[in-house]
Parts: sequence; structure tokens; C-alpha cells
Amino acid sequence: MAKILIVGLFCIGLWGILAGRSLIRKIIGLTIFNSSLVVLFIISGRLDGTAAPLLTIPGEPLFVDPLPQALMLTAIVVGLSVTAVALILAVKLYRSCGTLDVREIEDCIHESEH
Amino acid sequence: MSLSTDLTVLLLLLAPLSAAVLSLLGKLFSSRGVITPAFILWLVGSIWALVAAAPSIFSGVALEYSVGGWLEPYGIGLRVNGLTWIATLTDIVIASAAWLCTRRYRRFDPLFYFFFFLALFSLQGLLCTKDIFNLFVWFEVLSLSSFILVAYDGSLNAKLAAFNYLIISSMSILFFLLGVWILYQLSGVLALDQMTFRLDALRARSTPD
Repeated sequence: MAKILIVGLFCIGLWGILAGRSLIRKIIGLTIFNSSLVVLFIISGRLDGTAAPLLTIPGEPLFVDPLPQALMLTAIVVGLSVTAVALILAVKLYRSCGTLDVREIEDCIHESEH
Repeated sequence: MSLSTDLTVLLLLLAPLSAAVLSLLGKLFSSRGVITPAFILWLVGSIWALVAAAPSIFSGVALEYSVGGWLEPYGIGLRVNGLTWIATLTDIVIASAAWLCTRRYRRFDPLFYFFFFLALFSLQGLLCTKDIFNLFVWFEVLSLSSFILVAYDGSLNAKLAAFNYLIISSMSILFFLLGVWILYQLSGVLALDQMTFRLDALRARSTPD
């Protein structure tokens, strides 16, 4: 079930980035793509056990691998900052051209050059 | 002139970082005068660290440093070996040429140089890191500052180019993250040297004699 979720999110994200014509759609695709990898790391970290990785809990020898969780905390923060920069660029382009469509923005740049 | 091992590795990283902080202070007090001192601070610091590292590098010993005194496998390790040394030298030559070009091209404000030195700082971290996940983090810091440098011109073309670069680069770095996952599943470690060791052991076990 988790595998289907990961592959589904991966494909939706990739399709959104490659096929989306709107800048916002590309950014949403990038975020979904990022989430699929976060889910992948977290799911693979809990194959051994599901208890929290606190060694003080008695009688719980099998706990989740804490390393992927720490890594994903960092990856989420990094993804958030990339999304913020992308949204700033999208807002600036929208204010100049009045559209979010990539092709129309390219036309707008051509017109402003002539 | 001679520095301890820890200080040499730290100086390599702190030289661009302090130049970036100095540029940011210049932005705060809106003074252009800090641009040249920041460059000199970075250049002198980096070259001093390279000279201090040279004797041990040329005798084939890598410099090691554990951030905050936390040893592996818990802490973050930095290493300067021969390859790092040569790459840093190349980095200094190219970045100095780029700095001179930016001075001739236009009068950029100190904020531009903040991102310039931030990119150099993350490049230096990238060269010094021992850990494949930190490699990912340094790559992201490097690309975040370069997106802003690409868009700094402020023209429509520059903004669209920065956006396209951001989408392509972020997508490819996520494939890198997928690779990190595969290597972590195979070897169970993130440090590059231990990973090589474990993957060799795995290969030796899987190939029939």
C-alpha cells in the first residue's frame, strides 16, 4: 500500500513538473515530488519496529531508525525554502506579464525586447 | 603562520562565511566600501588555510575535523584531502576572476556580494564534507544562492531563467536524494569512506569465486 502511495506521488509530481504549463502547477508538482521521497525515507525507516527511538522505553527492542527521520526533517526545511524562492520568482513574473503560463511569459519577453 | 589542523579546516570555511557576513553588514549600513575588504578577507583567509594545509597534504595526510567535538558516527565530519586542496585552489582562481568581472561589469550593491560569498561558502563546504547527506544539504545551499544570483539582474529574462534553473535543478537534486536512499539501504551508513568499504564487502560477498 505504501509502495503504491510512493510511486503514485512520484509520478504525479514528475508529471506536474514536466507537463504543467502554469508556474504554480510546476511548483506544486515539485512539492509533491519532494513529499514522495520524504514518505519513502520514513516508510523505509520503520521496517524493523514502530516504537519511538527512545532507549528509555522498557520492553520495546524494535524501534524506528532515527536517522532517516532526522534527514527528512532537513530535507523538508530545504524543500520549503526552495518553494519560497520559486514562489517569489513566480509572483515577480506574474506582476510583470500578468500571466502564469510559461509560453505566454516567453511571448511577453519577446514583445518587450522589440 | 602555522595553524593547528582544526583551525586550518575551520579557516577554509570561515573565510567565505565572514566575507558574506561583512557584505551583509555593508548592506545594513548601506555602505559600498565593504566590498573590497570582504574580498580581501576571503582571499587572504583561503590562501592562508591552503598554505597551512600544504605540508600535511603533500605528505599524503588528510586533515580531519569533527564539528563540535562530536566524533563519528554521531557527529558531522569535515576532511581536507589532496583533491579538496586542488579543487579549492581552482575555486579561488575562478572566483577571483568572477569577482573582478562583476566589478568591471556593473556597480552591484553589497547584497549581491553576500550571495556571491554564500555560494563560495557552500562550495567550500561541499568540497570538505565527509557525509553524503551533508553533500545534499550543501548542494541545496549552493543552488539557492545561485538562483538569486541568476535573477539578480532583475530583467524578465533573468527571472524566467532563474525559475527554469530552479525547477530543473530542484528536480535533479531530488533524484540525487533517491540515490542517497538507495545507498543508505545498501550500506546502512552515510559517511563516504565507510560506505565504500561496506559496498566493497557487499560486492565481494555477492560475486562467486
